Amino acid sequence: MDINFATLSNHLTLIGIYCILALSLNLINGSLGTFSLGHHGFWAMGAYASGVVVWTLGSPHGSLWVFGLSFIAAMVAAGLFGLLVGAPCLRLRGDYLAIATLGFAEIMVICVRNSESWHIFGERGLGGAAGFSISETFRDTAYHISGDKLSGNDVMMAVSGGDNTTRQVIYLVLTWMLVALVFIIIRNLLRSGHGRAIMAIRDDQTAAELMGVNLIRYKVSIFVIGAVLAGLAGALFTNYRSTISPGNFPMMEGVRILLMCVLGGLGSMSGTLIAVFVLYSSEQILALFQTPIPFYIWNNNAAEFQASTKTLKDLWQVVFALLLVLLMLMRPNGLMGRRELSRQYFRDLFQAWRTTPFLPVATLIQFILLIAGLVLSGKPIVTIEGWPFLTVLIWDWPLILAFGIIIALQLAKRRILLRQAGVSA
Amino acid sequence: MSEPLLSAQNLTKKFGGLTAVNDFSVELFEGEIVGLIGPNGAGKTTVFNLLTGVYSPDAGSIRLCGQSTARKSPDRVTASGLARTFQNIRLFKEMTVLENVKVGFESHRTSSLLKAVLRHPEFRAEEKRLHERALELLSIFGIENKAEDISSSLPYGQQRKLEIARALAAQPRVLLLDEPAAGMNDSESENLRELLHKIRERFSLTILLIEHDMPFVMGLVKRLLVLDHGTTIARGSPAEVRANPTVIEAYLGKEDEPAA
Repeated sequence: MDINFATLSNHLTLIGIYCILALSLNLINGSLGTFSLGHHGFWAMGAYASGVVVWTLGSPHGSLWVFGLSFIAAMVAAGLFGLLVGAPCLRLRGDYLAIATLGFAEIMVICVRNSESWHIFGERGLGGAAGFSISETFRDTAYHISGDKLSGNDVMMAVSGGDNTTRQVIYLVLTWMLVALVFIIIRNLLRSGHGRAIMAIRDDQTAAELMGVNLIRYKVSIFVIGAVLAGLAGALFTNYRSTISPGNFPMMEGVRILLMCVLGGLGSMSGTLIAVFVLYSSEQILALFQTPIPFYIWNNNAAEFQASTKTLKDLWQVVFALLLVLLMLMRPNGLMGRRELSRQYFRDLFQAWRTTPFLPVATLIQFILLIAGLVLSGKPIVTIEGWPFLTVLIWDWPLILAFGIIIALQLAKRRILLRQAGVSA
Repeated sequence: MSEPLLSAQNLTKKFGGLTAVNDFSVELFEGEIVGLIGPNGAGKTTVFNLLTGVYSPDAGSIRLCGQSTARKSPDRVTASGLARTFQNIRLFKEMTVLENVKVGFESHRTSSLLKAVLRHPEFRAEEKRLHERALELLSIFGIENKAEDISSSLPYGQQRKLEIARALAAQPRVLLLDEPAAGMNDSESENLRELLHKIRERFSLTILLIEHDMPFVMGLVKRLLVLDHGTTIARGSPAEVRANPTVIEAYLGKEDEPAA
């Protein structure tokens, strides 16, 4: 396995797309306090709407105009879908709303799965034959790479290859500019009278209504805004990937986006961004583990127990789930709770560090252990100007040991902080 | 006297077989303070919920400032000039004291969502104005120095005051107070009474209040209504009501019953 700039920028672009999705879901689930579980539906809606526009109007010789139009179409389609789902469903409370939104998202994906028109080829996906290009300038590159009759995977391989760095850079920059834009929009929205009304609904719906807050209007409009932003992420996803299929939008994607919000802290925007990075990269890192699991499995044919040939890599989802359980036990409100990485936050952090020197020392040791574990565990697979950058883990135990000590230190820190707050741990 | 500011005629509300409020009528004239008393479960809070639009009445009509509000949703009732506080404090717990008050401005905000997102000068000017007005309201209640605190961290008495400040932010003409002095000691409730007089003068308010603390009510209101089992059993001046045998019976039981 070789990792180069293209792969890294591919990951960063996808992280950016997840950031937009998680931020927009956090607006609905964290700030408004309604529990939506169907965000992948709006994502898929946006992705397919933009795909249909590009394929109808300009494939494979796209132009900047079709490109722009595909984004607008995606946002409008997702917004309308959000209105359709939100208007009836937002009258429901709690679990019922979650189930209803999940249901609508699944309906959306199933419709696409069974559709054979508008360039949507059911399970086979949309845009499987060629890539979209974002302007005349890059059209030829994209066409050259995708050629004709390539499968989605081939296109992805081509996209990850070295000869279209320009396209990668453009998407990387565009994605992160859009992340910044979405972040600013949501932040401005939350720091206004509208934002206060939304958070009032979250804290006490009845009291908010009695203070003059129009519940339905706010709930539906915020839900639609969330859907529109998810549609934006969808358009970005389609145009970037060049090919999408219903398999890109399973229910697990909805759960993953929700997980990013919960893990970061419902209502915390900076927490959400951190959680997207943490979740995405820990999934990638866990998939590199190579140590065989010392399990014996009953082999029916040989009628005896045999040593398992599975490695941690094969079980990364189990490990991942365990890590999540641990994290939620230690930080039930997510990484950031409702706080933001504001000046006040750093001031408080610095204050705590000054009064209790153990905390910064422990944090430093944890950081060193993580790096040392990663370095000791593997052999470098990427070198950027001589620096080992990413490694395949051939020898997991130093990293596992490091993780153990990190978790122990984290628990110790938590005990101290709790004792300071006057709560017995 | 002119037309009443708030008038409710023959309100009735039933929950299943239980008649919570039966044939309730009240008229509030500009500048009045009227008390609503009655034993626990008499239907006082239900009356408030009917007046504010939380429940819609099964029968009867409500007119506020000349408009019928019986079928309006609570936010629209608030926008037409009615605000209330709650028996069990319902502040926005995770928001700051200042933000709580600012939520009260909701029906008087004019700048749109788009202007807020774009930080339009109009939006900034409005935010600044609201900020100053919110601080001014807090200073009336002497809690302006806690403006940036999380509202649930305030002591109990100040939370009650904050609720009133938040209600005032909605610029009501009629203020409904649900047991504002509950849980306060004598000096605190004395202080609150002075405050209520002060805000009534300053904002030319008409107040309807529920209260259990009899000395508190007697010193504040000119007119009382007594509810029991959803029915109005007496109305009149505090002295009249205190002397009314039906009221005494409702509160203490019949005289000929043996004391428990």
